Amino acid sequence: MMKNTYRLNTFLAVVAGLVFLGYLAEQAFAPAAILPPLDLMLISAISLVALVLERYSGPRTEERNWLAVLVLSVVTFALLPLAAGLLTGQALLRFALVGCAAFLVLTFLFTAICDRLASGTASKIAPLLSAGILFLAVQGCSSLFL
Amino acid sequence: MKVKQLIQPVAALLVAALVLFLGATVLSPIARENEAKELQSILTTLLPGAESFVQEEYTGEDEAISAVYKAENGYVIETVTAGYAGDITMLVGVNTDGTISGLVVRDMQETYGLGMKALSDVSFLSQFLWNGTTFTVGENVDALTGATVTSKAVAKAVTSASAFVTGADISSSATEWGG
Repeated sequence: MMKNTYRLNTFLAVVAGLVFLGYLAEQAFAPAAILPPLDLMLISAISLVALVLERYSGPRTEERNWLAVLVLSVVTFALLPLAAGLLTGQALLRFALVGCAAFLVLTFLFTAICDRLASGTASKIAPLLSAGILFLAVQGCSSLFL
Repeated sequence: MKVKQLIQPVAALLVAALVLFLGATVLSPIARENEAKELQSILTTLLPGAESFVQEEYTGEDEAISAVYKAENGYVIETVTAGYAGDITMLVGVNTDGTISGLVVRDMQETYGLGMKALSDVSFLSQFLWNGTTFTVGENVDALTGATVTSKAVAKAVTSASAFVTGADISSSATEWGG
C-alpha cells in the first residue's frame, strides 16, 4: 500500500503520460482515426482515473497540501502536452489552466462524494461510482457551453 | 518528511515528459510519412481515374475551403465547416463538371449516435454522389435524424467544393450554417 501524500499527482502524471503517448501512437500508425479532442472531457477523464487509482492504491489521504497539488497539476497539464508536441502557445496555456481548475474541483467533489458513500459494502465500489457520476456531470455541464 | 514525499510525483512527471519527448521525436517522421501515404490513398479513392495530384494554393474568398488538390480529371477539395460541436473537416472529390465523385469526413467532434453518423451513414452520404452541384437540406438532401446542423454543415462543404470547380456563386443564404 502506498502512503505517499502526493500519490494523486504521481498517478495524474502517469495516466496523462499514457494518454498522450496513445495520441502520439495514433498519429503515427493510424492517422485516419478520430480521437477525442484535448478538451475538458479528456481532462476530466484523466483526472477521475487518477483519483480512482489513488483511492484503490492505499489509505485515504487525510490532509492534502492543496498548493502543491495545484502547482503539480498545472505543470502536468502544461509540460506533458508540450513534451509530446500536441499543444503549443495559447492552446497549451488554456489547456493547463482549465486542466488545473477542473482537476482541483473534481478532486474536492470526488473526495466529498466518496467519503459519504464509503460505508459498509458500498465502500468498495464507491470510487468507481463517484467517478462515473462526476464524469456524467461534467459531460452535462460542458454541453451548456456548446 | 512531506518535502521528501514530493520527490515521487516530480520524478514521475519528469519521466513521463522525457518518454513523451523521445516518443514524439521518434514517431513524428513516421507520422508524417504515414499521413502522406494515407492522404494519397484517400485522394485516389475520392477521384477514380486520377493518378497524380498537385496541391494548389487557394486564394478565393470561400472560408469553407482549406486546401485544393488538382488532378487531370478533377479536383479534391478539403473543406472545414462549422458543425454542432466543432469544425467538420472533409475531403470532397469533384469532377470537372462539378458533380461529386466521392466524399469523406476526416475529422469531427459531433454527438455520438447523431451527428457522428455523417462519418459512415451510406444513405446520407450517397445523396451527394453524381447528383448535381448544389445541395440544400430539405430540398435535395435528407438530413440525418437528430443532426440537422451537422447535415447542413456537410451540405455546405460539398456545395462549396463543387462551386470551386464550376465557379458558381454560393454566397446566398441557402447554404449558410443553420439556414
